[in-house]
Amino acid sequence: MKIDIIDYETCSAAGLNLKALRTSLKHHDSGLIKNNLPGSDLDTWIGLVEQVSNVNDLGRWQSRNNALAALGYEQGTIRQTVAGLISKYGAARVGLVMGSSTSSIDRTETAYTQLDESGNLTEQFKQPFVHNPHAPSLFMAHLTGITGPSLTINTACSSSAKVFATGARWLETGIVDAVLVGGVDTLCLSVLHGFNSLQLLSPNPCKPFDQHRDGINLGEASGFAVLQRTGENSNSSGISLTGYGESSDAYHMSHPHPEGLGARLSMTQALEQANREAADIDYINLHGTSSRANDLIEGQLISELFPDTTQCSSTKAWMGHTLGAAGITEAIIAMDTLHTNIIPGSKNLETLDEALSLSIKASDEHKVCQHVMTNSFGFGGNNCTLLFSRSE
Amino acid sequence: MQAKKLKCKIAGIGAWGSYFDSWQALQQLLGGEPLPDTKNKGPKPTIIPANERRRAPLPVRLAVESSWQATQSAGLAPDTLTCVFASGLGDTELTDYMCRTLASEQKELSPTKFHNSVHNAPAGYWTISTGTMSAANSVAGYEESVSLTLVEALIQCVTEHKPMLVTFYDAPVADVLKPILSNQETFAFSLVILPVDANIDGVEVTAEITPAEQPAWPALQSSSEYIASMYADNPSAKILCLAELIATSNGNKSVTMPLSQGTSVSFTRS
Amino acid sequence: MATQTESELKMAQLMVEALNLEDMEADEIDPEEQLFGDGLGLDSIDALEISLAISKEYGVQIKAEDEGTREAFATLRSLTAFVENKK
Repeated sequence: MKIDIIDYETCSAAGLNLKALRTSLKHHDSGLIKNNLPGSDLDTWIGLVEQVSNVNDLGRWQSRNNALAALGYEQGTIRQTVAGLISKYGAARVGLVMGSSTSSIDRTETAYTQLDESGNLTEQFKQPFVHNPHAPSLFMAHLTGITGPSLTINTACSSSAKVFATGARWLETGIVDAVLVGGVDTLCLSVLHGFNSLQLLSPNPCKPFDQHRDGINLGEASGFAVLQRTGENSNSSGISLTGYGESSDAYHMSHPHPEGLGARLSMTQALEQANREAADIDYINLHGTSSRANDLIEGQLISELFPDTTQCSSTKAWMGHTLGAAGITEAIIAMDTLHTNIIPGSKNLETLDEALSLSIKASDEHKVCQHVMTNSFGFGGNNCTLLFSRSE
Repeated sequence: MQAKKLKCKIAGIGAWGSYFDSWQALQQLLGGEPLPDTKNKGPKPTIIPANERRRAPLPVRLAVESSWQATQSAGLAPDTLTCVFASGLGDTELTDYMCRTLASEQKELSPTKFHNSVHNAPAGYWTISTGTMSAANSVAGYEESVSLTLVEALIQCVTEHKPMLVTFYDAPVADVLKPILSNQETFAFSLVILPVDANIDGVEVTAEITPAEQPAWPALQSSSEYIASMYADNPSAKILCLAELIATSNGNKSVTMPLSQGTSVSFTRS
Repeated sequence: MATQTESELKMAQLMVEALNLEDMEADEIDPEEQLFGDGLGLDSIDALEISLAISKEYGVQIKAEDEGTREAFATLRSLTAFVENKK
């Protein structure tokens, strides 16, 4: 498989755009703050993008989720890149694949706090294009002018990793000449109280893979990448998607497989597709949520499958677990190491879980990487691994 | 690059709705048979282990029942199939429960309902129930859910040379959201789609994507009011135009569906 | 089957309702049978669901990570006694 990454952008609490994220990563500045989301008094930390509340002119498209997508799309050169491809190939030859877990449920939540006396939706919330799971793609097609196929993938926390696999397949069959893939999820009461009901939220800044980790922090993010078949665009970023793996745990809706069998499958598939050995992988951006179960199972699996030379980290202590947007956020962090030549450390790691022995440390490492991976695992036992390489 | 023709074989079908509990029963309704006197209760797919079934909401049970039927009719073990589950509306009863609870003073959510609220709950229950460890996708495309998902599944079948299970399901919409998402019908439909060289009998279908200006859904041949109402309001029931193509070998040879604002997709039987 | 006390029956009713236990009556749950694993076959998400129902009904908070939680959830009898002690 030969797919080039033409452009990419990310927006999260750790940086409004890729440039700002690079600075935060370099200085180990976390974007996590004490939870102050209106209507929620839960004792936890969150990765809030403050500028989202300034985007309030979306009319019938208004929702926090769409606002964060719009904000992210304004960053860097992503809008110009997409506009250029539309004028080159035609709007119907550009595809769109968005990943999200909340879609725009934030807006539905707000609508329910303002029902009229008879319990009906009030006028401003009668937004059929917003209150449905396809909302992120409907909105992005509207915003970008893309008229080719547009699909939303909702597989919880693997959603916006899987968009790369779907985008790559679309390109391979030639149904489009370019694909904008993206992910967006916003902080809302559903996810805060939902993860609280699973007793998974930490009252402290999260510490992935640490012996004393005590749960996750939620965050919000949007991210985009433009994909094309290799060699068709001379303005490529110099990074290629060379492999992906998609699998299921077949175990439990909200608990990972105890031996990580599904995760093992997705990682080995990605390696096979890229025709690479585990030893070829310089860096893995782990799913690393900071939950007791995930980090233990993922960590054990990594040390079984990869040699010590494969450096690993979780970057969730910078912006929290951004759920449906985590896949693309972390795919971008992983692929950007091919540009910066800096492997980010695993922030907030002090004492590695004593049951684990993988190559993970809090400090950064300067290294010219060739191949990097990222893992995303979601509810329903839904796993996705992506492998990016320096373009040949 | 010229788009590849997407050719595959449909080797198994499953269907479930308020007035039909199999593909055969649905075909009779499409053929003009009157509705049965009583609505179906359930479904209650026994393939889901009892411990998971008690937690499974209606959309999950719908999707699993119809998926199971399709794999049975194809004579294939479920765990050999890569799957794509699609719903235009998702589980609005759970959306309603969550938003109602969060708008109240007592905001504690049921952990079971929360984990069931993910759009990929049917994919999760299906893979757990059948021990499927292959890829399970879960997608949405609003009114174009059916065409987008068919294309997605065909592409995966052709590019990765994998046998696929594709399931569409949409349940009646919760009261508060009815004014904007009108569906009140229960509908699930599944297809087992195989690479064209598979050693199993099936209906050969080729899909072709072409540019189109504001394409629209085609009219059905069926004159049933019940079928027409599902086709109009239930995003998953849009598959009925392809179902008619498969059911009648001496009728139309081709059906064209809207895929996006600027494209449509035609399915042709060979 | 061991005999249920009145408070055990009430706890059993709460469990049957919270977990939507199919084909099971509250008075059929043996108070000494294991709730998890080979016994009634409950799992971690059921424990969270029961914890939520208990907090609403009895005002007693149960955290999965706390010491004693695992022992409390061994049987209907141990769970009822745990909640009675904390009330």
